[in-house]
Amino acid sequence: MFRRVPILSAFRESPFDDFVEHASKVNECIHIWKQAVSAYLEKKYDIFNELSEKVQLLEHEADLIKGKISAHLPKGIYMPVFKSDFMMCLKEQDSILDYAEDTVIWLSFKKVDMTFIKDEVLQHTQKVTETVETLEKVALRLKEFFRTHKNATREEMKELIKEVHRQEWESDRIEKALTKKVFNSNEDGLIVYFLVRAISLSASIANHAENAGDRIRAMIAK
Amino acid sequence: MDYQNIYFISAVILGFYMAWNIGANDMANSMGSCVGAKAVTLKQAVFIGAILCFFGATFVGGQVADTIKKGIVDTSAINNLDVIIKGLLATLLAASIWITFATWFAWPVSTTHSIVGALVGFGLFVGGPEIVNWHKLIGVVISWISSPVFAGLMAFAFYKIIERFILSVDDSERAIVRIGPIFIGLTFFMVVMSLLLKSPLGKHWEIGLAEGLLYALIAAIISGIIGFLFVRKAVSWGYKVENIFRILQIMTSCYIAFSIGANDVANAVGPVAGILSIIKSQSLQYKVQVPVGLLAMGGIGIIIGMATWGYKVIGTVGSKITELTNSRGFSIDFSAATSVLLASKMGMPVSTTHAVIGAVCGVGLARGLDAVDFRIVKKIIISWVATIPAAAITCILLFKLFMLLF
Repeated sequence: MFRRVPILSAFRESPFDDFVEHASKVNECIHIWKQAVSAYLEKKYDIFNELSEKVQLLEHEADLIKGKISAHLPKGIYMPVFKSDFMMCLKEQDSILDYAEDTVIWLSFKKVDMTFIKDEVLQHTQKVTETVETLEKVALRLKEFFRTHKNATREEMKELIKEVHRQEWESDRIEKALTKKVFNSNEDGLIVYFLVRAISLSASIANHAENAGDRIRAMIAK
Repeated sequence: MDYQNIYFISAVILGFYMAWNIGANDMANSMGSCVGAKAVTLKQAVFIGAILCFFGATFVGGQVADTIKKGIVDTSAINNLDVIIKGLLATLLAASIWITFATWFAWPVSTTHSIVGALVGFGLFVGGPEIVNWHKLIGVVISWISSPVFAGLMAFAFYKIIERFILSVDDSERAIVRIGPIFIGLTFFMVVMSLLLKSPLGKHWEIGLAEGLLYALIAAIISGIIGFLFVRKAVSWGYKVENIFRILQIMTSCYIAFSIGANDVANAVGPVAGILSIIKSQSLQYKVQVPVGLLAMGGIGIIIGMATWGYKVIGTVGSKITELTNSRGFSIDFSAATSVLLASKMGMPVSTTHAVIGAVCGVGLARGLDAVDFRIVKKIIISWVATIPAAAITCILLFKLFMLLF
């Protein structure tokens, strides 16, 4: 019915609302992912499976939000940012969940005792989670920024993106130390491969959080 | 009942239908952004529309109306007054049907353009191409393109100013105390100018350009000072920038309703007044005095159009435009109303709907809106191309029908 006022059909729903919802979904999912990894380390495999299912469900829900955003931005829609930058940022944010899902699926393939690297893995998952938490803080400010274009908000967002970079760098350092420890352990080749890939998948989460942050920085650049 | 009475009653009914269309189409499109940005409620929009539209029609453009819009058709070549009356009736009905049809399908069709298209159809059918004033038609068509472009450029610049000097600065509330009064002054400057220059009021008081500008400037300074005191007080009461813009947007809503009254009521009452003058004096002038009763009928028609159809269509969308803030809404409304008023002062029959859409695109290009569908521009272009032949053909068919019936 509202389409009958042409002027009003020129206004489209803000994609930033859905973008923020997507970012919140990503953050929520990463917290579940962290709990799932902890459960795996504790050898509580039933809880791990339950949480793993939740991660996959949240990934699917986030996919639906992503699909909705794409559907609402057909050709001819003009945004305050380059649509390609916005869509790339969304893709990077979505990749965070793809890797979270891949990690829990990978872990579900085999039950491996990780007691010898438990502390480092917990440290790593904590750091990875922090990057996503900080990224959500940036995403939450995005809509407000485009409403006012305030310099103070831009600077605050840039500082948060720097923080994402720092957290990703720290997660990288932990990842390297962890990988080294696994390679130098007395575990057999299959276990080493399993663990190194699991660590690498987890690390990709932080990498994509950093990439998403970089895309947001490009969007808010003067 | 003789034919003259039938003509008179038909003209009044069709004029009313045309006014209803203006309310459902132009008013709904123009007040849509005010309601969408929650500057006014639906009821307030109808109320504002009703009062100010009527004032606009009465004081700025309504009392002397074109019977044949811009003299697009040279009716002196048609010797038969009966044919002219039927032609005017067919023009009103054809334009109205086309607008109702287009409004239903959400095509941004202009009431003014439809009247022009229908008149061209009538002229071509009755007198051939030689009685259509093609030079004037080209001028009219150019004004259709220039008015949304001008509104767009103005909205772009206006929004950039608001963003640069108010929204993006750290202490936005302090900034609006300094700059808000300038906007208030500008609004009053435009309103007073439109009231005094080339208007019945201006003619009555014999006000020339220099004098009119001087009065407008005085009004701008006084309203600016009052505005400064008001905005300063409002900020001290804890009003935020968007709250202040809400007040400014309400002012521009009034301004828009006023400018629609000034420009569009004539579309409905002009041909009716023409028919009345033929019945009374057995001759047709291009410009005729419009009786106050007829103006009131136009005003009431617009209010009913707004309250019946326009009301519903705006109401369903109010909550959907989440990103339309009052600062954006103000930029859109002010630019659209100003461009329409300036165009009307220059004698160009422009569309309020198109000016508003031009302004929306301007704010969108200034990166002020989260998502604007620029496909609306394509729709406008299609409507420009389609309106003239569609209204013209409908008018020819209706004219033939009237000739058969009476």
